Amino acid sequence: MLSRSLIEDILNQALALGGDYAEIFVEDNFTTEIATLGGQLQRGMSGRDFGVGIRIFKGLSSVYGYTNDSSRESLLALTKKIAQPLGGSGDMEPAYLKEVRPHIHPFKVAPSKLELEKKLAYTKRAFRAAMDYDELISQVRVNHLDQDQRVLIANSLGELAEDRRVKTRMLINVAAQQGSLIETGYIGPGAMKGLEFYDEISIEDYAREAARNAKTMVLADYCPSGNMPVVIDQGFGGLMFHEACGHSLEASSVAKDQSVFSGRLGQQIASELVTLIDDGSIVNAWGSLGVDDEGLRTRKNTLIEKGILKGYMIDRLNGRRMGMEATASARRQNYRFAPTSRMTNTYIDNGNSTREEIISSTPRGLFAKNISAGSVNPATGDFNFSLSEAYLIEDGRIGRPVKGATLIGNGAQILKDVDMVANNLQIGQGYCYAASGALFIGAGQPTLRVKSMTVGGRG
Amino acid sequence: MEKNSFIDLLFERAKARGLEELEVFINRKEELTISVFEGELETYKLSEEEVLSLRGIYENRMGYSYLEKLQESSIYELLDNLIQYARVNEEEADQLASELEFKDEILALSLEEYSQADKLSYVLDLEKKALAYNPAIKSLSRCSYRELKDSLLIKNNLGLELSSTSSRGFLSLGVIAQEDGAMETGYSHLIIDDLKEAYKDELMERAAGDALAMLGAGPLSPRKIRVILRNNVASDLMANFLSMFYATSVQDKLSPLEGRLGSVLASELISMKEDPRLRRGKVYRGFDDEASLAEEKTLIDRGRLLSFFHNRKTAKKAGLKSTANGFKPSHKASIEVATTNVFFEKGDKSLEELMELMEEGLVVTEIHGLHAGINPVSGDFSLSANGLLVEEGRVVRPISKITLAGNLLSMLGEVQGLGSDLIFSNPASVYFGSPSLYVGELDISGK
Repeated sequence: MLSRSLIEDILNQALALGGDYAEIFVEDNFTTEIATLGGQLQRGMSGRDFGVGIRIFKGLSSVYGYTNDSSRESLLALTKKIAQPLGGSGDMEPAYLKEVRPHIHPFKVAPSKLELEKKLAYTKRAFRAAMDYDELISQVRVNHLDQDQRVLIANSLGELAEDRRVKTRMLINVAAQQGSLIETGYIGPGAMKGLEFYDEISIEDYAREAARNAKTMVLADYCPSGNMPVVIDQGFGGLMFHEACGHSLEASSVAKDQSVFSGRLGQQIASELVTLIDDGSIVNAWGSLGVDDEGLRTRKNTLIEKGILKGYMIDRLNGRRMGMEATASARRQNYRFAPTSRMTNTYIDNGNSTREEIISSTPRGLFAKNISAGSVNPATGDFNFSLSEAYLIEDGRIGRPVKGATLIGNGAQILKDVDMVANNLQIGQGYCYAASGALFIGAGQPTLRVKSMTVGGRG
Repeated sequence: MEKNSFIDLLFERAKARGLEELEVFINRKEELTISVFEGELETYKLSEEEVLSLRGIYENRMGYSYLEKLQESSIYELLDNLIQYARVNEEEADQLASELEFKDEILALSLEEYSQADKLSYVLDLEKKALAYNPAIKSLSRCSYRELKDSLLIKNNLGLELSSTSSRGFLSLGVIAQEDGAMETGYSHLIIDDLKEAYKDELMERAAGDALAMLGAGPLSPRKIRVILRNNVASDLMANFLSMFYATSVQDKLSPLEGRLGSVLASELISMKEDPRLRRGKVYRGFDDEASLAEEKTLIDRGRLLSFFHNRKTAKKAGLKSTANGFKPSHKASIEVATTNVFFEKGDKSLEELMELMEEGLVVTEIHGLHAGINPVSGDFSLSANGLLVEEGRVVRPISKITLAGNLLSMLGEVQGLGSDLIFSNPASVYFGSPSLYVGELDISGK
């Protein structure tokens, strides 16, 4: 993607101009993103992203620049410009480049090898299955996206990594209408695989599941407000822990002492039932990578083990501030962003209960089957998220569906309030938006119960 | 490769592959970001990019593609992607606009007069002043300056050539206050065209003011309560709901406003306008991405809905003229409906006067969860919120950890008071300006 001699010249120049660490990121990404409505192509396109990012550190200062002109003159000029605020000269030599072996995520059909017409045909299958599910289904949007991102990352420590991240995902959004009421259901299966992914799953089953969710919600009443036990189902419900504690365990907030979990390593911060893991190496998972965006081979990081805080997610820059090693947790949306510590596939590990036991031992509460999204203030730990499918639990049984529910709470508190964890771990697929852009992430958990949460609704 | 010769070569190759009409959209961006932490430069980011988006008519169907590396060897793939799209596009293409030349330019000239060092010391001084604002302010989560110069060229083989250049600066400040073990945060931002001292005060008062005011906050038990949405909250909420006014949403049956054109939608205090050439706006454009000339327009006039936002395609379907809202959200997206600088016209009351009018209730000062807690199809929302409890027209205590739920349309119908304190939402997404709104009763939940 760039010649070795040019890479070495850029790293050399960055160190000569005062940097004590320099890094190059080259990205070439073939992507397709299309949106369909009512089974017809509505918008989107295929194309190719290309750019180069250069980052230099000096102590705790970091400079970053990017361009899509990858000529020698342009890259050396950029290096010079961004190094200017570092003010000075250095005498460090970059180390000899040695290749880092990425974690391998095999795929069969590369996104550029399948015609758009065939990609569109998959979305039409989802449209048809959702539309045929029920008379109440009024509108179906199906989006498809894929990418074939090739990156090269090299740094002055002598690490050179190349990675190829092939991803495929379908987003199925179904609206159900009764009278003037419209509610939606959504599902988004995705993987770090090529287009063969669509032949390995049942697109129709996923589409019907989104349609079922929409129909259930359009017939639901508003959720009541108040404090109650909340049972969160297996799968993407794990997004709650992504928001509630994941973000507060990222070095970007921990390093500056701006997280509720700063300085608490080794302490009991959660119920003994809670083990929280971030693993960017899960084979073919949506949130996985071969190497992180600083060129480190991805791995499994245990963040909380049986309630005890074991580690943070750390990038190189924040690692300097913390005096700790990077954990292969640095990510960026593309070359337009400098990387920072982010999550990959984050999940609560299995416990010993079963889903049935949890529900039957809850006399009254809320069952959160699907959640749509949430956010957190990492400084305070206060988080919120909204449910796309929820039910009341009455007398230890799942009762009537309710819509429009929001859950709020505090990350530090909720970790202590987990009082039952089942053994049915699943990981769902989603996005996370933060300082270094929008990223593909996995979030998961087994079914679990939080003994009390604030539920907001209009009922 | 030089831009104009690249375009000529592209048009020539396209013709040879059977494309009759072709239009390029070239966006050049130069950006600088400076952020500081504890008296030191923390990050410095500089970028220059030039990206190309293409649309063209192949066998009577429109196709699209994009590219980020303008070089001859990329042309084959670019055209191939476009043709693949056109082949599966079931809709017949409309002709591209032709024979129009237009050029507009607004530069935040004063910002160009400052050196990098000036900009760095400005941000360092903002940090120093913010930390000294109050002893409870222990740390800043953000203190940064960003400037952007954006140039656009739209050119087709039917004689159209439009260009636009604009630049702006952006300051943001995030504050963390701590007292007796409690931690609270505040945030503010501002689009700027100069480095004035007064901006520092404005940012500090808003960010630090909020963080300090929230110290000692507690929840409130569930109830219906009268609510004032402070200017920042009203503008954030509206920015996230604005898509219901897009003709695309209405025509796709994903808006509660279908069939409401011409009817009374909101209290007569509410008028909504769009000004594509607002000074210190997010956008300054004399035309949209489909070559429709843009001017100031009124969408809601004293409560009555006069128009939706249209591009050429939705306008044609509705038998109307485009409102010049045909924009590409990025070079990777085809033309959709999007907005420039939209706002509610301000009223004449201060926040204090609105509180007196309300007597008892809650001033909502912060909301979270907008990307998921709202349903633009129905207008329902349920969000987490912070605010100030008001009794006898005065603030009595800060409130946190509550949820706020209601429906946007019923709420707009109930607006009883309008502030004079118009403020805009974050330009990173839909840009909407609103003054504080006294909106009647909403549901809250908390401990």
